[in-house]
Amino acid sequence: MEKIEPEEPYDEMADRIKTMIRKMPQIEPPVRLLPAVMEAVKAKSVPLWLRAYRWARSPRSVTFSLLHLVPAMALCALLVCAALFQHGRENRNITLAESGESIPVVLAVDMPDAHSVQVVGSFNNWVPQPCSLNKDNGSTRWTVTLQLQAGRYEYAFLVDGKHMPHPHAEFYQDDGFGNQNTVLALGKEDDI
Amino acid sequence: MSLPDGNASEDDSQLVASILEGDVNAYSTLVLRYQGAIFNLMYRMTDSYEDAGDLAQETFIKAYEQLYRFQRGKKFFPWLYTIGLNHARNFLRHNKRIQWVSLEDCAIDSELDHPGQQEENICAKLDYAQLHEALNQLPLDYREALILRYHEGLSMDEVAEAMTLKLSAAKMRVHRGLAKLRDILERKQNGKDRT
Amino acid sequence: MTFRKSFLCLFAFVVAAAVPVEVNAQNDQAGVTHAVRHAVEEARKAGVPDAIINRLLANGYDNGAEAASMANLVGIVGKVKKDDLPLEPFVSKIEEGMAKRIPAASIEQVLNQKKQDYLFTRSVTADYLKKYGLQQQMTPEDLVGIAESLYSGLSRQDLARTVEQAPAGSIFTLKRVISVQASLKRVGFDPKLSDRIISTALEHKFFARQRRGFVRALVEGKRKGVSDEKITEAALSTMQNGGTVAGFCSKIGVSSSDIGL
Repeated sequence: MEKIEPEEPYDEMADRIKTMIRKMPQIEPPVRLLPAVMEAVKAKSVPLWLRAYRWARSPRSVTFSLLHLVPAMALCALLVCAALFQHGRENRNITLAESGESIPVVLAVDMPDAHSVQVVGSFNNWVPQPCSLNKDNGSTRWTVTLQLQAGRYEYAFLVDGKHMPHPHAEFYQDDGFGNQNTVLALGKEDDI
Repeated sequence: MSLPDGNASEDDSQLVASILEGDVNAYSTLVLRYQGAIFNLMYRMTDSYEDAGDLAQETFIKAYEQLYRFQRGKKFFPWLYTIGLNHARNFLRHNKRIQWVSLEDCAIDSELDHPGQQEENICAKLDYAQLHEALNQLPLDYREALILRYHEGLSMDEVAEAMTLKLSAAKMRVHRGLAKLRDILERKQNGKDRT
Repeated sequence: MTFRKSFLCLFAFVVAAAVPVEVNAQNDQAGVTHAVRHAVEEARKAGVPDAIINRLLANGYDNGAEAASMANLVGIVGKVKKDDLPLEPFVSKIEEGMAKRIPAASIEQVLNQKKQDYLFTRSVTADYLKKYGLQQQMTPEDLVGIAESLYSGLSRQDLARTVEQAPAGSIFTLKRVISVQASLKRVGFDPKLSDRIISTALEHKFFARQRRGFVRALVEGKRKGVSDEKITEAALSTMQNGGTVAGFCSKIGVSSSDIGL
């Protein structure tokens, strides 16, 4: 539920400053900026097979939830495993280890009562990263998309500032400070 | 030079989809749409036209390379802005031009208790040059929060996203940024009045 | 000039220039800033990369750490490097502690404990490698994976016992065995039955290949209230008959979607 902020008394000075910021003239960018960018990106044109590969690997959700998994979520979970745990594929052109490419991971958690959810972890030097709120089909899901190299990571959520490991994940670790972190392992040794 | 309206957001997503399907030329629309905002961000960060141009160019190239990570349905500008801000910070770090201005060092002692007469004077005399100079004196986070909120017209959620902050932290930066800006403008005005 | 500002200057110099720090010798604060400088110099001498030192100091600045605390933390990282242990888990733990607003003294305590745990882990695994005449060297990543199991449910005694009883094999298999052991202990699985599962898995080289979702299924089964005996029976049967993880799931009433398969 959206928090209703109390109305502030009218402040003419603040209002004037805001208006001036809004109307503040800006410097025109150099004329060469657009052509220079386009020249550079055209040189980086992506071959069709890699575009198809990236499209197939575009972010999927990893969801841990008490809620019953409807077929669409089961499909997401299947797609998650295809993206996250790429083992035993016969005709892959690229392995993650070979290409050094990062693995897209979407962390999702259902928190209908939260006002803000962030993720902190060893993948972002424990700097809080905000999660986006998605309200679909009656569920309130907070998600964040990460691009991670193969490896082992610890993370947790900050729900309204309070530390919380990812519910119903399988692997946890004591952080030494009295909390638990969730362990995420990606790559060839990632799963047991 | 404010950002496009809400419809452009859907348009941005469609453009991204086209680009990912191979229509590279569609990227020029995105560049045209946001080059002003990104270039000015870089200019504020570096105070150099040359560096700002280079950094803006690099930002768009980086964004293109990472376009497949862009989450469909989200707004493009906050995502692009985050890339730009990080790129600028890295540039400043590597070029030993770190803006280590502590937020705590900016004493917020000016809140809302100014005599009405002072406010009238300031309102009457405020011009863009003063505003620009005052903004440059703000800590980076405050300044960018104000620009994103009032110049680019982002919602607070979008400001938080673009700056990779909690919503409460973004609100704090806007609120305190405004208070500090006002404080700077008043001191300038008081200084002028005395001369 | 306040202590804090002099400390901020110190940060700015070190991060910006990565050259020997200029001490801003302020009267009663000179001792503290000297301590930071000394810790930084010692860390550099030990071989800690400047990028790591800068990362630590910048993190400390961002989180408002006191200079004395930073001196201690940098000092510990220097000692970790001297002991030739991987730095990342320690640096990450400092960042984590600061992000979670843990008092510096507690972070130091955790780091010191961690150092001892890593040294212990290295010692018991060295014995294992030596015992089987394995030419393979333990990589830093291997050491991290095994040492971190001490925070996932295993005690030092558990770890030592597991490594001691592990048959000859690869570091890869050893890591998996330890990981399984830790996961089972964490959910309170019967220790004797855990040992049976692991010994059977080793006997049938079950861990030599990827068994995606096996332990997750086991843990989920326990969460659903399936008895340890039934889970063990199903696990042993799966391993002995060359069964699949999906087959194991169905035996214990866990669906593939429950474990993301």
